[in-house]
Amino acid sequence: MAHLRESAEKALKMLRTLPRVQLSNIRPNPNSKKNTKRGRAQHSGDKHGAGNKGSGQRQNYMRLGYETGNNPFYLRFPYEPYYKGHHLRRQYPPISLLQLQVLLDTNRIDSKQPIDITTLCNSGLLRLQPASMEYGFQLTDEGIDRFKAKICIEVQHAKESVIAAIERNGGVIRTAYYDPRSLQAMVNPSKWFEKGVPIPKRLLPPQDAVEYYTSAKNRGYLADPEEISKERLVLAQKYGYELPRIEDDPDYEMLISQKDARQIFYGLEPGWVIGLKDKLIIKSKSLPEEQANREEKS
Amino acid sequence: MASIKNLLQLCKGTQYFLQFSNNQKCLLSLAAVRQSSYLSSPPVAPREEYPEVEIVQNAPEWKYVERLMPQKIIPKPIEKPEYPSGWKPQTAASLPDLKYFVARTKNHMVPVYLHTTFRGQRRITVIRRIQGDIWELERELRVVVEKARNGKLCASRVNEMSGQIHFHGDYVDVIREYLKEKGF
Repeated sequence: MAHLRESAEKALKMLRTLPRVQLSNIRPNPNSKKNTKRGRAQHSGDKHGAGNKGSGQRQNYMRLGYETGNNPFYLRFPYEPYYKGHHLRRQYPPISLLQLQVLLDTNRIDSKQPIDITTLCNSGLLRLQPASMEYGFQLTDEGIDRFKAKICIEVQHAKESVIAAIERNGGVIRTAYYDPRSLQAMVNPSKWFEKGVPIPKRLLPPQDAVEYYTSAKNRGYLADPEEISKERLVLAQKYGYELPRIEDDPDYEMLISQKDARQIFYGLEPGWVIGLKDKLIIKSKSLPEEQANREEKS
Repeated sequence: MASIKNLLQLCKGTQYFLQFSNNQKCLLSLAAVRQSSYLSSPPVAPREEYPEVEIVQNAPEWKYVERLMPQKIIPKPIEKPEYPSGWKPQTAASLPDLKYFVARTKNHMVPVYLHTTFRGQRRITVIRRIQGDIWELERELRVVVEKARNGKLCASRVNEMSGQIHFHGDYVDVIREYLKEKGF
């Protein structure tokens, strides 16, 4: 073993005299670098992995799925176009009655005020992206048995059972349509006001949504109020509960507060500009469109 | 109508456009106007050209504006006789001789979560924000989870450093209910 000790000592001795490992004297591991040059002809020039003849050699690959004249596999079978026009369909992100009850219980939403998209978005727990075809919230029936709040709520879509659950507790529900531009203002009103832009005028629903929002069964905002009060009674009989009289309610004013079909914020009219810093409201005496119409007539 | 008006305003500003014939003006009105650019936005006109407005300070409608402003901080939950949603306020903070403590989140919720990985194949229940004797809590929760599993053993992991316990499987509801019962 003497020679081993000797060689170890020799190596240590060498290490003491060698310079330190530093940037100037390090080099890559042997065989770790590949030659990037591709030789031609006698300088190792062959096929270079591309093979002999055909699209492999010429690098002109066929388009994906093409079977050189056969009926391609991806076109061979008929299919149902379920997702046709999906990018144009209106989306309604769901909120459940349970979620709503939690928001009310944890004091994130005030039940003494009417609830709409702005109230829900201002809670900071729900998001709406009008730019991604989201046209508002739909109220779903999850936690329907636990829902005990008396509220005045405006959503964009609600099932019959959900309507019954809210009206049973003495609340009021309306379904209303908002166009994307109005939604953008509603999602973050303070940002809209800071821009110094007038409050937009709500557009009427598109043709395929008119039927839904004019129906009293869906509590549509364009439905006849008398029809709605009749449908309230019909639903109470169908689900077997006694309809609380909202006329005798202490919060009657809150429960019947509703927006105009062209209005997006309670109490504020379209065309007004809100100055948040100086706390002033710039009210238009006549809307620009109205004035333009008048000019055209005269 | 508005786009034609803007174009006409543009024409007023530049001498070059004034030389255009009527025909060319018609052509111009068909061209798309990019309102988003400051170059194509209409220049500021005299006050008379704008619609009449009324500037109101201390308007009675201001209360409706205030209603639209979001709250700056997360409000504290109000004490109520009952909470129909099943949410409960934390009561354990005032208890003496606590071996461990599970803090609520900023939204006053119990910090029990479900982590799903491998396309929903692996479900792990995560309990966060644990302070104090984490091993004692793990022993107690293990009993609860094993009861929910009909006596079968369960796999768990304790991270003392970050104050987290992981349980294999979806036991979020069971564990959350247990913690709420204990007042956390």
